[in-house]
Amino acid sequence: MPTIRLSSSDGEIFEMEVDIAKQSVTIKTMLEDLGVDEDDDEPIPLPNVNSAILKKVIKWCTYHKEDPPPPEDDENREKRTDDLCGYDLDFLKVDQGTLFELILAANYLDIKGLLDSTCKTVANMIKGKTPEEIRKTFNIKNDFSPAEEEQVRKENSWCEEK
Amino acid sequence: MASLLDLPDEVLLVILEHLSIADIGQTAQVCRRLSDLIGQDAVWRPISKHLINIHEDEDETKNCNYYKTGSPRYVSLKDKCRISLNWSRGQKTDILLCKFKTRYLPWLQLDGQHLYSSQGDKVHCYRLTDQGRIFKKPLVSFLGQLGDVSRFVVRKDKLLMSGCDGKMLLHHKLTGALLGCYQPEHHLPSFVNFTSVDMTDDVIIGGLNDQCIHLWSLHSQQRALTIPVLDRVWSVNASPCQRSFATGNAGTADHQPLKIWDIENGKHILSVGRNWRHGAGILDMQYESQNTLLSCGYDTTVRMWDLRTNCLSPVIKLEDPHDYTVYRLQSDGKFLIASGTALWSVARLWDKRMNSELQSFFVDHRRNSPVYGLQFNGSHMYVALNNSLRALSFTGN
Repeated sequence: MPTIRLSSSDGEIFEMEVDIAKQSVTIKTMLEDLGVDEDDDEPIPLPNVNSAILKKVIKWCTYHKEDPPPPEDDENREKRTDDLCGYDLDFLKVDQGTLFELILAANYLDIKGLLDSTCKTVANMIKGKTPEEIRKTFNIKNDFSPAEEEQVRKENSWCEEK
Repeated sequence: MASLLDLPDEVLLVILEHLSIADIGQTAQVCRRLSDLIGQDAVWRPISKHLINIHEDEDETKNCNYYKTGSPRYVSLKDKCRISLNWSRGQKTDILLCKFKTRYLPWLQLDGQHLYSSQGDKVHCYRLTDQGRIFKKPLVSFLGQLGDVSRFVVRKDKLLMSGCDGKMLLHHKLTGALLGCYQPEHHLPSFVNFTSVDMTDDVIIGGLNDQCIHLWSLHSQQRALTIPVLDRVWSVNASPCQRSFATGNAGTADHQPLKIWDIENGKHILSVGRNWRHGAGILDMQYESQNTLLSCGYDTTVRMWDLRTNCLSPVIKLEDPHDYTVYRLQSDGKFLIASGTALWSVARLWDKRMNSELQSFFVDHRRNSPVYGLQFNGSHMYVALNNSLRALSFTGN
């Protein structure tokens, strides 16, 4: 089984089956289009992903290796957030910091399934909350002045379900 | 460790894609970055695909001469979505544009920033203001008809009008210059007049209540064809492909009120629908594309037909809930159909994806007038009643 080696931002080396690694379109492109050889001793550097996160990403990809390729972006497809599989629900029970690092890694490595699941998880944390509750959940500072805040509230009041 | 605002915009967009409009509204109030991001078109593009009466790209509409945006200013996609929800929710302001000195059967057509309305023996072209109202003094008035104008059509740079004096006049739509006059060869009896007109780039089509269609060459003004239809003709529409046209008849003679004809040779191509009731006359039609035709009339039902099939059954059937005759219809080319009925100035909005009406309006609730003219764009619906021109504004301003 051909494998490749990846090196995280903090210098740790990970070995991965090529088939599993190709879930990352970034890695797939490097292997196929840029002629990075599978037998190269040189590991592929991933300067944007640290070892803790890379370990988790590899774990996710290994579990999902049999998944069918994700469908082409169909703009008419309804976007649901309640269809996360049991494994992902469990896998993503992590602190926010880790969750966002996973999102950044999935974005950088272009792993659609992981990006989808992590973004759905964040969307579920936003749903049904008021602006103040959202700020509290994600520790975001309110940088509006009271007048600005009232203005923004007015501008967006039409969004509410009537 | 990373936090939500460390994510790049394109990732925040993916998260926002999973939120409802209500949740996006709440998220926009969290902080400046999210408020700015949510003002961008990319957030609203996927949402706008499912809403009624939204066209993001004006080029999308350039082939549909029945629909153009009302506003010359740039409107963000977020604002278009807000206005679209006003349509869905029926949130509008009533505007009286002008009151007639006497009662008319006015015909209406919206052409970009101009509203054309027939009143008696004239057609007036009004400029729209930025707020969707009209400048009271018409930009140009079209004269020359010796009786009331029954119908007119504006296409490209021309206006064609017909009336009770048995002739049709072609003008430049903005200068009013007379470009042509079209008359049947024989002098018609005085009770025979044009009930409907349409034109393509080359052909003028006139439907008469003497149960004939007359076709002329637009440029040479020579009469090309006369097609006996055996039934009073109420409406005529040229297909966007310009090789065929549809007629809506009274439906009394052969119970086939909707027919498609070849423009070149006048041959009957297709009778649309079956099991029509006697007298189910078709009063208005619209080609959404060369394959899709909408019709409405005395049997109180709006139907959508796919002309690529044998047309035995409509694809969509929308029955007026109060059994009012439907005089006028217009579609936005996607999901929205507006219908104007025969009684109490009632206009209705329909979403093609639903079976019952979305909204109903009494355009003038004190007035038992049919809706003689109905035209809408992204922000306004214009309605002609027997005594006035009115508008419904959905901009919320």
